[in-house]
Amino acid sequence: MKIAILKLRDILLTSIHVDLTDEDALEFQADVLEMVKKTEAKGIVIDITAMNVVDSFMARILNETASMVKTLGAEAVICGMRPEVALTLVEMGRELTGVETAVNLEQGVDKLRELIKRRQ
Amino acid sequence: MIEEGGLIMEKEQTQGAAQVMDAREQESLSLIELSTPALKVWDEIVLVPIVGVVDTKRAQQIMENLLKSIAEYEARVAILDVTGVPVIDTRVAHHITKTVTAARMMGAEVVITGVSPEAAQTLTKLHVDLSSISTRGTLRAGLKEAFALIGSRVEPRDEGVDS
Repeated sequence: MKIAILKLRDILLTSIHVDLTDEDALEFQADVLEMVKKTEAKGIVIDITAMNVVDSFMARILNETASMVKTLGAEAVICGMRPEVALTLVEMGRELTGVETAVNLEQGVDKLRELIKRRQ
Repeated sequence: MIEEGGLIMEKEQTQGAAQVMDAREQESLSLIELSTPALKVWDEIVLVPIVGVVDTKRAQQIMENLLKSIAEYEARVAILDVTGVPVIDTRVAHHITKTVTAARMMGAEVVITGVSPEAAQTLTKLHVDLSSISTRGTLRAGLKEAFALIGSRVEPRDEGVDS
């Protein structure tokens, strides 16, 4: 399952709308990094509103992707995590640490813009 | 005949007992719901006041309620008011920490308000670290902090201009 990564001026938007298998998640991570490098985007918003299940592997992928994007000199914001998902991750002890988060896409983009401004 | 009658009576009694039990369960369920409302006090700010003793079951309920309200109202700040909680021990603090972590993952910041001097003393003595969580003494101070977090503020209207 290929996840589309869209370029919107200087930032990237992507929405994970299906529950990914482990391979898909890894492919997604590679795609994100490739796109960030190719487009020289200043940041990326990863929307996970439609994700019903985030297992520990997916949580790790999200964590890693965010810090990898930062290493490439861009910012990353994850938005739209469902309450059930947040609860499960906390219960599992797999918190997303050091990742910027937002409630919805709108606030996610706002936050990303703010982060980009702060970096410059 | 008598036996049959007895049987029916017994059956009715059990049914009656079951109904009472159901009613009680229903009652306690609605009580739990009632005890943890989530109020939208401003755009992007939700307030969850907690009154009474917090046990594990209730803590779970509060946590779910808070997170659901954040998603529902698309809130950026959630205020957890613990003025009405008589005792805050390590267990309650643990639940609070978990709630804050979960809310942060959803993209909202949590402000704990109404921490009593006694609670502050107990928590410090128990070496519970709440330093990563923003806490305020009063709900008023918490609201102010919440407004600051969403980038707005409340100030008195300038009377001189109107009149």
